[in-house]
Amino acid sequence: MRRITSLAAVLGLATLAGAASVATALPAPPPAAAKAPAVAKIGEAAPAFTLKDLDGTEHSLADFKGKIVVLEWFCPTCPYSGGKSRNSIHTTGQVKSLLEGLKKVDEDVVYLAIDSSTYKMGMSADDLAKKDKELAEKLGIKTPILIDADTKVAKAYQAKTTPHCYVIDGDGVLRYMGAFSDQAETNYVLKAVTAVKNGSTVSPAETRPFGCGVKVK
Amino acid sequence: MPATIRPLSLVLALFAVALPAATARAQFGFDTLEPSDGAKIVRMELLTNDGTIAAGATEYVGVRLRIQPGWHVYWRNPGDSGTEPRVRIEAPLGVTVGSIAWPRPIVFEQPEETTYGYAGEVVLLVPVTAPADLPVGTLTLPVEAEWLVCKRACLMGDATGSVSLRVRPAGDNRVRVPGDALADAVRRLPTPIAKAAGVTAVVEPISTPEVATGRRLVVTGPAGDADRVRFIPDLTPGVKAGDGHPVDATIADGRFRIEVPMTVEPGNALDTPLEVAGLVLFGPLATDRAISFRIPVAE
Repeated sequence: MRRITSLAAVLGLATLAGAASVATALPAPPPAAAKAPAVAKIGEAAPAFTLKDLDGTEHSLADFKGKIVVLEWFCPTCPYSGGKSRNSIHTTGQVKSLLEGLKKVDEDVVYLAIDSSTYKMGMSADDLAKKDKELAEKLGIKTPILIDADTKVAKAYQAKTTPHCYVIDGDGVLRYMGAFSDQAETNYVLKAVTAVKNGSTVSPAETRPFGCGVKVK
Repeated sequence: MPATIRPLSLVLALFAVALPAATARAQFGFDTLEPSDGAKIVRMELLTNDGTIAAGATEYVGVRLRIQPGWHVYWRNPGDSGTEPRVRIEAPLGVTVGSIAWPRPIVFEQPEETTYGYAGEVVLLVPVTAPADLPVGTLTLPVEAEWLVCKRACLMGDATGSVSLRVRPAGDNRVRVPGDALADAVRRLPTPIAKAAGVTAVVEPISTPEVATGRRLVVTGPAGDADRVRFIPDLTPGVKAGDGHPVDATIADGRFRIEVPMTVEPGNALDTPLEVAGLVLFGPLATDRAISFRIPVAE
């Protein structure tokens, strides 16, 4: 079953993390990343993936053709990601602010968190999903969190940190990869999505991401 | 936990934002640590040279981070992951605080990532300049630091403290005995290439078909006693030197030569000048020498 999670739905309707989806049938699109390279590269098709969210529902990048997709690599214990600290983008409301900003730019933006921490934390996919679900409920995270159990998606995207962020345009082309923000005034994700929406050049298209390391198998 | 540093005459002030010793010695398991427990792994101490500063002069304030075994903090370019420590010194009007002078880092190479940073301990040096008309008295500087410390998992830590410097009259250049810890930290700063005899760094064109930009960084110089010389890149938005990982030099006839393909992307420069920069490391240890360079790159 294909599900489309729009930002509007995420912000307005969510009740459970990862389950705040509005199901909408789409005509089967051609795989957006059919010509994707083995690793993510700006200006080329983003690597395809199909991952389950915390409720077991599958999400494929190809499902979101025509929509701007934001990916945020996530870890429940990283102090820059889901772990509680004054630098956490989740516990300090930075993601919430970003989602509000994105909604103003494009109500249909899809925001997906991806957790590839199984190997790093020595946890099974089920245990990690359980931990993420508890945290998501505690923090009120309403965007889907997808479990990258074998870390292959992290490897394909060369995700280095949590939060390492990506912006993919409606044609499935990778337009931004790097930091969530400059850790001050500028949110690079919002800037990139705005540029994509306006049809202008994404600048910067690549920045050095900060945060905790993503460990791949 | 606040700490006040009270320099003694010729003795470094080493009061810590300390943990109970038993806690500091404890072996932490990740399941018992919270994401913001980095202050349980890293202890901050503030250092001064001799606890004084002359009006019109510049002195270093040292921020020493003592790191539990197995953990590390990061250089200003953390590498594949990580975040550099941050230090904020609250300076009164007229007193200026410069950027951190970073001691040479070591390379942490793991199968899945390469990062740059410090294990054991590091002293970050922050230059503080007093105005020429600063009256004799006491200059108190509140200091705040935060760091990401990682082993397999990462924790965020922070600490505050303060440094008190006795202000000497302008022009008071009496000979002072430097503090050992600060002197050691200064010795660990990379030598700027301009002061490194016989070492050159240039950007030159290349015409190999696999390198689209057609430019490379070439650094050469005497290898000295080192049997392994490596380049590691600094942060230079808009300019990539290699893939961000260390590049080994070839060594022949007592000289090293480093060649690194470059990619120039002005759109990613974040409004900073296009430059290529990095360190040449002569050996793997924090005490081994290093040379730093930063050169402009044409668009």
